[in-house]
Amino acid sequence: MTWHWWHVTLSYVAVLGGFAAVTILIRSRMRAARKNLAQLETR
Amino acid sequence: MRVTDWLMPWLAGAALLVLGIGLAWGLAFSPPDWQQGETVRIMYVHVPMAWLAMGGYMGLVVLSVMSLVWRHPLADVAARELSPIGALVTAMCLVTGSLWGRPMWGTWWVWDARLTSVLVLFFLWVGHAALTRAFDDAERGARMGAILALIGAVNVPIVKFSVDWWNTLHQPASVTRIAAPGLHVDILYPLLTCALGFTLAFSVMALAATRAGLLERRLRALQMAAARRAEI
Repeated sequence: MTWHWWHVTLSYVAVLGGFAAVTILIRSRMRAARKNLAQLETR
Repeated sequence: MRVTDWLMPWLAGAALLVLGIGLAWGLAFSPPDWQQGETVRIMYVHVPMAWLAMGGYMGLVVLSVMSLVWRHPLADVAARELSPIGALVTAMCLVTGSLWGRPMWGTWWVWDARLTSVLVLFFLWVGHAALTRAFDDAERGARMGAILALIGAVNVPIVKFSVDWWNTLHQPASVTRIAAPGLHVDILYPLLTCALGFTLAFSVMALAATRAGLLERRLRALQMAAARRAEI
């Protein structure tokens, strides 16, 4: 892999990784909130 | 909530599909640039991040106006949830710009007007995210964040026109030039496809984060009501 392709690859990994990380974080927040809400509402 | 329940899977599916097509097109099927070679492919992620950083900020300004003028609680939650995502895309714009700049300009960073104004935009996003979370009273945090967002709106035209107003190492606009885009269609079409895909993904993330924020708000209200009942 050439030096230029390394820079291209790193750019795509950074952007897609950043988007994936935020998506996972939001999903886990949503799941935790739903679980806690369900627990509170059944009390 | 019901509308987003219905809308989000469709938006997410469309984002994945368009992004998949756009990125594959940009990486494998678009030609290398005659001057920049393969490095031009960084543009397919860098330019959409730059557009989203600025477009997203204009969204934040609209939400801030709604928050200050109509005191709309949904606007408060949406603005609070938008700023970390805006900070992410602006950081990605700076990182990919740096990765593009090193082989093309021979440097990771220069303090030229475009790069510096985008860095200021990043600090505005981070500042908004921090300020809205800094107060125990969420409503007060939202007001302060809205004021900061409105003051920071001055920076958006500076980012956009910095390449025209000052002599910068960063190239002037080539896609949004009114006379004619400076890009060949073989490069322009995959770029627009990627931009659409990332815009859809950004919208899905902003919607999902707002929903998560609303659920957390409801949870806190129920927990406080339960605590008050327990005290009595």
